[in-house]
Amino acid sequence: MSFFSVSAIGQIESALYPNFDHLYCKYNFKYGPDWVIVNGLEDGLTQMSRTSTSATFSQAMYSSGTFSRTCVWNFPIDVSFKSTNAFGWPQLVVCVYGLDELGRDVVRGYGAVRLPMTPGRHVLYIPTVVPLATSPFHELLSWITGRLPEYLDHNFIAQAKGREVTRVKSQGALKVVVDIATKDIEKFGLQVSSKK
Amino acid sequence: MAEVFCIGTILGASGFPKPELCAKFAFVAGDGWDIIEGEDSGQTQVDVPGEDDRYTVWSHPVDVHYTTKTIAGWPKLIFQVYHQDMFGRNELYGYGFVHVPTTPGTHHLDVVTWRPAGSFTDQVWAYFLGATPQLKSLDLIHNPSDRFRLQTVAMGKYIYN
Repeated sequence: MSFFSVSAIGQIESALYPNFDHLYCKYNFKYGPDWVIVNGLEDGLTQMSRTSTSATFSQAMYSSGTFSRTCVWNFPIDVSFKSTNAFGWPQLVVCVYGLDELGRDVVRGYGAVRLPMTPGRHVLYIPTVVPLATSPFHELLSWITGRLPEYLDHNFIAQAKGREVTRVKSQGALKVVVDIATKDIEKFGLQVSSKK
Repeated sequence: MAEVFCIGTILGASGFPKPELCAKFAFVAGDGWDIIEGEDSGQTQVDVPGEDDRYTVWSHPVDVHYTTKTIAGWPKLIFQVYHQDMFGRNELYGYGFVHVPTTPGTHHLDVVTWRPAGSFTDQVWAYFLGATPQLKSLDLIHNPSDRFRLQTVAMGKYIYN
C-alpha cells in the first residue's frame, strides 16, 4: 500500500478580537476524498477563555495597531493524515463563538486555512468572517434575540462552491502555530519545495 | 506527462477605494493542459470589513490538479474585482492576472489590478452612477489606469514522471 503521510503538530494559540470577550473555538479538518486521518482527533473544542485585563499593543497582522486584547487558548493539535493524492490537501476549519453582553452564545467568526505544505514550523494567522444579516432590521432583531446569522454547515467557509452569493463581515483573527512533517512525499514524485 | 497541483487560497484585497469587494477568478491554461480534479473558476464571497478597513478578507480555497504534456500555455490566474454597495449594485473595480509560479513550493503572490478609464464622459458617468466602462473581451488591454492590489497564497506542487 503506497501512500504518503503528513503530520501536523501544533496549537491553536490565541484569538485577537478587539471588541469581544469570553471566546471559545470549535475546529475540525476538511480534506479531499483521497485523504484519511490516521492518528489524532479530527475535531475538537477549546476551553472558553477571557482576555487579559491589561491592554497591550497587539503585533498581529490584522490589528489596527491600537489596544487589542488577546484571548489565549493554547489548544494542542496533533493529527496525522495519509493520502495518495495531493488534491484536497487538508484545511483547518475554525468556528469561534463567544458570549454576548447577556450571556448568550453567539458566533464571532468562521475561518479556514490550508495546512502548509513545506515541512517545518509555521505561524498562521486566520482572519475570520461572520455572515451579514440580510437587512438592517434583521440585524437589529438578531442582536436583540441573540441569534446572529450562522452558517448551517460550518465547513462552508472551507469550500469554494456557493460562496458567490454570500455577504460577510470580516472581524478578528486567530493565531495558529503548526509544525508540518511529511513522509514519503518525494517517493510520490511530488516536490514540495524548490530546494533539493 | 507531468502533473501540476495548484493548491492555495485567495486571501483578500487591499488598496482599493472601498473595501466591500468580491472577485471572480479563473485559471487560463494552454491547449495541452487538462484539468483532472478541481474547479478552474469561481467567485469569492462579498466581504464588508468590520473593524479593519484596510483589508478585505476572502480566504477562498483553490485546488486544481492539472496534467500536461507541454510547458507552453503555463496556467495563469485572472481576476475581476467588483465592489458591491449596500444596495447590491456591482461596480467593476479592476482586472488583474498573475502566472502560477513555475517552481514547486509555497509562494505568496500579489496581484496588481487596473481599471479601464474610458473617455472624460465615461468618467463623469462613472462618478455619478457607479457604472464604469468594462472590457468586452478579457484579453484586451486599453487605456488602463488606477493600480490596486490583491493577495493570494499559492502552494504549488509538481509531479514529474
